[in-house]
Amino acid sequence: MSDAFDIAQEITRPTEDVKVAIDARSVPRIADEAEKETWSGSDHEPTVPRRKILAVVSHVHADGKHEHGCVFVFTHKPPLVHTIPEDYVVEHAFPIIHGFSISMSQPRQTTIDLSSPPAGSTFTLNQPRTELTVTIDPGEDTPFSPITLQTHDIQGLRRLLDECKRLKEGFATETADDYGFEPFGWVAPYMADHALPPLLSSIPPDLRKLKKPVHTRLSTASAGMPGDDISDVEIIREEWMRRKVEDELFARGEKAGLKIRVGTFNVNGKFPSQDLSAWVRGDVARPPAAFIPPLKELSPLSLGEGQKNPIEETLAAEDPGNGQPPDATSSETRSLSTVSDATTYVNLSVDTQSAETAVSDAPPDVPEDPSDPDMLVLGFQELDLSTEALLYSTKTAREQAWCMAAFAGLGEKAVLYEKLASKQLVGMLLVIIVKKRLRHNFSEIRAVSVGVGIMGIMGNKGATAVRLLFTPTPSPSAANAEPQTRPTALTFVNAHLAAFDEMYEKRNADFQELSKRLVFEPAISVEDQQPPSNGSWYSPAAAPLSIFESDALFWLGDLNYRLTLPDADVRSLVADDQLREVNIRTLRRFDQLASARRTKKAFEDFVEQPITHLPSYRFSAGVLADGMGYDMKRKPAWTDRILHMASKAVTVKQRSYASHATITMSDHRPVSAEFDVEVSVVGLDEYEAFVHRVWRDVSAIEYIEERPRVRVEPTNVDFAKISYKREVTRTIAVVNIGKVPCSFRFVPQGPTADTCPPWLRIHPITGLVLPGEKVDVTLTTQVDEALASRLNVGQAHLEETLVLHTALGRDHFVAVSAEYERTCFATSMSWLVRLPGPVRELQSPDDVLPEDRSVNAPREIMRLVNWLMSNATETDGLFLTPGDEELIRQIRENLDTGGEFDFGAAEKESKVALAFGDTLLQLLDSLSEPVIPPALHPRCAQMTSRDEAFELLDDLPVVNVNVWISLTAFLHFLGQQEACKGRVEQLVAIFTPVLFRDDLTSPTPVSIIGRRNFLRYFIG
Amino acid sequence: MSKQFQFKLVLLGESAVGKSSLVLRFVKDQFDDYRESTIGAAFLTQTVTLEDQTTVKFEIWDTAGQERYKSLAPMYYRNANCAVVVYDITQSTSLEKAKSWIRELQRQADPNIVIALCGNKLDLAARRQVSEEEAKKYAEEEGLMWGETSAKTGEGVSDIFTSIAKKLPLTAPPSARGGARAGPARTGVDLNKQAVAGQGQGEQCNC
Ligand SMILES: Nc1nc2c(ncn2[C@@H]2O[C@H](COP(=O)(O)OP(=O)(O)OP(=O)(O)O)[C@@H](O)[C@H]2O)c(=O)[nH]1
Ligand SMILES: [Mg+2]
Repeated sequence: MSDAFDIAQEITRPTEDVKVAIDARSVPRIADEAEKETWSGSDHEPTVPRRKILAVVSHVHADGKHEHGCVFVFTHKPPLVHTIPEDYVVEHAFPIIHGFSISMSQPRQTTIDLSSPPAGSTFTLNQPRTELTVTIDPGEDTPFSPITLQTHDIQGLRRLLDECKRLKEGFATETADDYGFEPFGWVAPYMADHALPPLLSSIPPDLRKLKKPVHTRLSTASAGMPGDDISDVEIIREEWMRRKVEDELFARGEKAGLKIRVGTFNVNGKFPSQDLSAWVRGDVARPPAAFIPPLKELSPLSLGEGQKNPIEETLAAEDPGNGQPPDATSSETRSLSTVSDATTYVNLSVDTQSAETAVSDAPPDVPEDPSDPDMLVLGFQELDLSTEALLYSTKTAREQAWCMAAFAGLGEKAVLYEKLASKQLVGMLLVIIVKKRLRHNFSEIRAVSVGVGIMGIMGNKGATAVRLLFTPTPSPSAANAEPQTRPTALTFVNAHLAAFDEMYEKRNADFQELSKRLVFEPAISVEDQQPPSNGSWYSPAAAPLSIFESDALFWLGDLNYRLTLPDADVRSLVADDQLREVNIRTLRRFDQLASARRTKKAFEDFVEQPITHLPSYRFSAGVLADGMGYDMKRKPAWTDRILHMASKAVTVKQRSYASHATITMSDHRPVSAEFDVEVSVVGLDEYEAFVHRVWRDVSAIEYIEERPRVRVEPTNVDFAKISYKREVTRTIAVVNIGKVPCSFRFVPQGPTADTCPPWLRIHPITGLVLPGEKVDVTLTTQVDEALASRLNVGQAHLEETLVLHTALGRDHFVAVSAEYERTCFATSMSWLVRLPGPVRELQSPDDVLPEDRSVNAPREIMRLVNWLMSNATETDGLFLTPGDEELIRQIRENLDTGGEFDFGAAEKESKVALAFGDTLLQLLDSLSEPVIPPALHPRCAQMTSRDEAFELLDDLPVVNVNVWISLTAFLHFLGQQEACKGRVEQLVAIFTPVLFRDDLTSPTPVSIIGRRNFLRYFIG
Repeated sequence: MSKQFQFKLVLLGESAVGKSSLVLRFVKDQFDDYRESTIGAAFLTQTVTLEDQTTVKFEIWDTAGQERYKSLAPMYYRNANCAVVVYDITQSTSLEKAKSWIRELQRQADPNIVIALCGNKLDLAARRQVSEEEAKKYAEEEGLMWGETSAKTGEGVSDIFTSIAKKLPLTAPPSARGGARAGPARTGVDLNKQAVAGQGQGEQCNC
């Protein structure tokens, strides 16, 4: 048991002084017998009175003059987690003011310590100790009533009474006019401790909010113009707490993995007629399926038996037996709740017992593979194209057919799984299948659907979504295994957005609309929803939940985004299997979804793994199809997509993203993605205790009258030389030398200025430091293309003062300076030719040569071409294999300084040649304007002969012509070499996007194929 | 009921003349022989009560005197109602610097700003380089308030702030509102009036 004084000190803030602290306990109810009878059966009163600590705490105000005291009673919290030793809360706080009084008395009979041996045997050692009674009367003017405690500590109590007397006398000498502050304002934070700290809500914060950097959510402020410090403190503190929970609680704990396989399939109104295993299981090598899918039986008629009246059957979750091989009947019981109009609430009270039974039902010869997904999330679109389906938004037999086909696709593994939930709206169906073994880990399932189709409400377009909680089971070996662990909220959205190439804006609007309207309404349950055991704060939320109020959100579906390139381009790019990789990369640049994300019109902050598969739309058969099977009337596109977004409370790693060409029954190919989701296994109690403990240090800091004090060191940061693509990092420490937690933020110098110069990055830009602690802030210079192009033509000496504002405190300055080293990268060719020498020797941007004295072509490009011509024509993989970063840096440095290329013995190694090749590509790609200006691209793409192409060169600036001719001559030569035989096409494909860099903002891209042809006239 | 006003005050002057020391004396009645040079700007408040029971609350911004941070000073004196420009009576160069601050304020700051010129370190009068007459004459020419202080002994410190308080236009328009820190008042804000208005029993308001 810790010393009362230490505990009191631990609980109180550093601004306070614990004068005396003694052990005490509540007065045992001696004459309780009578009372007990009245409260028969009630054993709420603990048999041993809880330990309490009685303390006198004083606080000297910032003015150094006024000292005020308060008597605290701390009480031991009912044990939540035994590993946290000092879990005390403030039970009472009585300010020592005029009416306050404290007195002690000795009860008439001394209490016998029952734990002592019978009197007489060892009475000299174990004398019953005297219990003193303390009565505290807070005074009539206060809202508190008197309390009585007992203590053994006579000495301590005497000192305690003396302190109270001293403080009360001190208080009596003061008059209210003496100070311009609330004298007992410092006590408020202790009482505020009972307020619910943020982060204890069972609703995860909106993911979109989490993705916005904290500083963008703070009030507007600048040097000398603090914003709303109080509200800033709240935001910064919450973020700090969240970090703390992530770094100290989640990071160190046990992890639970959840393998989720997500699939989307626009089935074009068809019934399943093919093996779906490639889609539902992945193309894993496996033994031949033990269970042959009963494909023939999968007609709507044959489903008669298990089928209920679709109108009556409005529940999303149903007997999983429907979709399963007949031998795998589940013995589970569950109660289903009613449904509201669009929202479904499914109450899954599956007891562990039956879940186990279900597992044992599985035939012993079906072992689990680590690669088996734990959860299958399948989204279908155009399940039903009939008019009836649109009019009566009901469940159809098709759901069962597709579920059955999905289970069939799982082959021999099917018996391990069962359907957990589903939600359908007209043609859209979202099905969630989980391993039976994990069934009891999922709870509080909600579903919703929203139509955004005809008239903005019909279900021909829209989305269905399911939200559920995943509560990991702690491993039995975990030392401190909690029965109830903290759940993770997972949400899945299956959407079908507006069709047709030109409906790009409508798709974006659909996304925005769905983001708004997909709201899970609170549960309307038939039975009383029992909150999970002992998690009082964690009861099913009564609030409606946005899809973004999740820990992880997966958005799948036929999003219908198309490619903006001309039809012929797309077809020929996808047809060429020699250049598949580079062509797919090229196509990705013209993907409407990529552009929507870039311009933040839709799916902002979502993550999508770069696509490597062919467009999944639109296939046709016979004469209507091109050589690849794509419908001649529709431009191929990646309509079927899977994206996600997650908070830091979970880790989501995508393992695959593929389309499945073997499943040909629809005009779309199904697409799948596999995710490894990792969540922390943290007991709810442990979590709550942790948050409370962290909260205790920082709650109510905005109301403490002491000013925060920090020291910033150093206040002068010189980066010396900074250069293109080289990061330099310096660290400054923000040390809290005061007594109160300090939250800080960097602010701009003026209302219209930026918080930091473009060449610098500050991390973190906001923060919180506890007394005696320090936070390291890193300052990183990072010069990318855009910045280099500005810095190259500006002054080399960079200097700035950063302003660090401490909330409710002062501003601190940090002077930063750097010397920029110019580079030939990220400039224009017309500027490069006016350089009097190597770019690094340029003292001032004004020192460039007049235009009429410029050179023919940029020296830097010529040096690279010449070197490659003499050293790299035999190099295998030149321009195709990426070069070594360090070698590239050296080459760049030589170009900038005019230094000789000197690679010593390595000179002849192919890695040097590859690095030179890559450097040339990078240099060309970094030019502020491509070698062929965008305005000429449409004409280039239309040239139909070599001669025409040569003629067009007349319209280029002379510098560009010179570069073009030398480059293409070299590439032509290369194409003739043994090492590059048959590589002409690859060279063309690689150089086209560089020499003809696209203006991505243009809505109608110029044909890639046309531009490739143009280049081919020169090097082919 | 006595009236309460709130004003933004900024301290300017060469490094080491004693700006921070003056504020420390005024706000906490303390002095520190070894003060670190200010690299930033400190914000403090102090209230003075005038004879007629009017209270004036100063929001004080103590700025950095080092040349390197000069460019940031305008951020702190903008919207200031009053400025105390400090020099060290033992350093004649510091008066030159003070004059250049005054010129800048006259050019850039709020035209109604009340400026006080303050000669500090009066306790070191034996090493005086700036005579009272010289400084006083300059102040009169420029229409500034003037006084000498010692942050060390406390001499003259509260006087200078009190005289500023008296010179400020203590007539607040009834509609004046807004958090003082977020948007410093151009003229004094009568805090009592605000409070009354907040209770919905405000006086006549013609807006
Ligand atoms: N003897 C004497 N020393 C003083 C007086 N006022 C300030 N000092 C000393 O002068 C030095 C500089 O004082 P500061 O208050 O830090 O000066 P400052 O104007 O704030 O300087 P910066 O923050 O660099 O702009 C300190 O060592 C103070 O102790 C004074 O009235 N008399
Ligand atoms: Mg200072």
